[in-house]
Amino acid sequence: MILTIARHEFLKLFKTGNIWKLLALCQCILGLIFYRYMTEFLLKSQNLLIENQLSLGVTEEVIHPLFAWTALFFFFITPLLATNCLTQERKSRTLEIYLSAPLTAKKIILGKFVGIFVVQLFLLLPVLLMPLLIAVEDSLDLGQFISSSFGLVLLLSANSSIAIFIASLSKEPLIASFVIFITLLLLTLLEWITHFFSPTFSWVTELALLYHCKNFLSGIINTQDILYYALVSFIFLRFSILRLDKEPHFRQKS
Amino acid sequence: MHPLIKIIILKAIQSYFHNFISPAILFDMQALPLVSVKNLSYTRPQWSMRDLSFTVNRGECMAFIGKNGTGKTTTLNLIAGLIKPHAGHILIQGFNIHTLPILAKQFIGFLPDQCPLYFELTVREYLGFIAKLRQISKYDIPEHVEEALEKLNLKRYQHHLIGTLSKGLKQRVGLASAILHRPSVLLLDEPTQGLDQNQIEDFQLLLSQYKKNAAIILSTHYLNEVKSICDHALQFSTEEIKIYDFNHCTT
Repeated sequence: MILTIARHEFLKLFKTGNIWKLLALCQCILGLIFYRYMTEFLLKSQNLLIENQLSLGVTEEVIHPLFAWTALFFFFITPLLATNCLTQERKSRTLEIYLSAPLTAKKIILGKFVGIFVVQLFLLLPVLLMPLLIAVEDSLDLGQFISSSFGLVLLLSANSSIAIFIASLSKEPLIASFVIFITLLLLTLLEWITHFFSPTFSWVTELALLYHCKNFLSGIINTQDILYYALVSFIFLRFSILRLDKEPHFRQKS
Repeated sequence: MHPLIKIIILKAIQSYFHNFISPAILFDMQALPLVSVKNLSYTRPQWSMRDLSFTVNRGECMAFIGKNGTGKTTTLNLIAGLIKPHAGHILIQGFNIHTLPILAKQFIGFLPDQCPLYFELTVREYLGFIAKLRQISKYDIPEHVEEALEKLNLKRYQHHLIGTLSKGLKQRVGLASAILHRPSVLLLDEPTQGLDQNQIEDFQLLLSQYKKNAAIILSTHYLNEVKSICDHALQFSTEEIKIYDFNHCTT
């Protein structure tokens, strides 16, 4: 059943054609970023070659910043997808299709989660192919590339679960999208905000979303980081399930 | 069998086998009323409903009539399990809709006042998706979809996008999705809204045929509809709820 709902969410975007618009936007912006870092890298390498110095690693100089930008870029995409699959459905009352069917809230939420997660992987795939173009001409650090990709996938999972939870609370897609974006941004900014406070609050840094992605982008797969993303995904999915379970209680107040 | 033991067994069935075994196999469900509402209470700022009790048996049709804002849609939503009542309980074929929702909802076909449709899907795709949500086996889906399309005269439009259909056709698609899994309880909120006279007559014919093996509750403003297919009616008003029995001409 989870796969049926996920498949529906995925195909729904294809049917409306929105997926192609998102893909075009994704490719356009991230393609330009890739091009910029690539030309910068080539210029730097040329200068270093003239000075007879060792050239820089393409993975560190191009792939690392590209993936960091990709992570930030998805902060805009995830809210749109999450609100489309939950808040918009509540507004257009198509959520009643699921609520009146013999389905548990767990199946509905997991189905929606898998749906938007797969859509994001679909959007991420061409971005992951860009670095592979370099591998044709230059030596790519495959280990770092794989760990960075893994980190991005985990980040998207955490983003999606947070977004689904917020989307499950709201009735207005626009407001929900905005709140999701702000929440994801704040969870990222935690890393820098703590610099302004006393060192006793330094642990707050570890709650930041992108903080745990840094290791992955540098080619280090740390179980602590995996656990962080798995926990965030689990906790927010659990909250979303609880919220949908209580839907009849909330409906009576509206 | 003691009701408590029954509930424990049913809970176990729900947890482990609800996808495979219908509890009707284990107990004599034919004897139970299909819809049983007991002491239902619910309060809204504009009106409140207290101790509403009624039953609808197989082969019966009940109409909810009354002015707008008197609680017809809310009561239908309560029976469908979309809203939780403040007191009382609703049993669908013996299963409490709020404590055993998965079991109870298997027997319900629900058409809300605003048809929930995916405009980007074709009629056939939409019905196929609903059939999957209703947990109809994938081998039976084509048969169920064909049957629903035929009953609602939608075969011509099966490959049309729902978004391109007229309001009446959309209503028929909604109705097809409500009867797709052959539910024994059909809840319809203003089902003839947007239909022309011919379509209303076809629809009434369909309901009177469907009613033979099911219980139907419909909310409507049309008294002709009530007279032609309904056996009972609940008249909602802000002061009281009256029950009419057309078969025995009692109030």
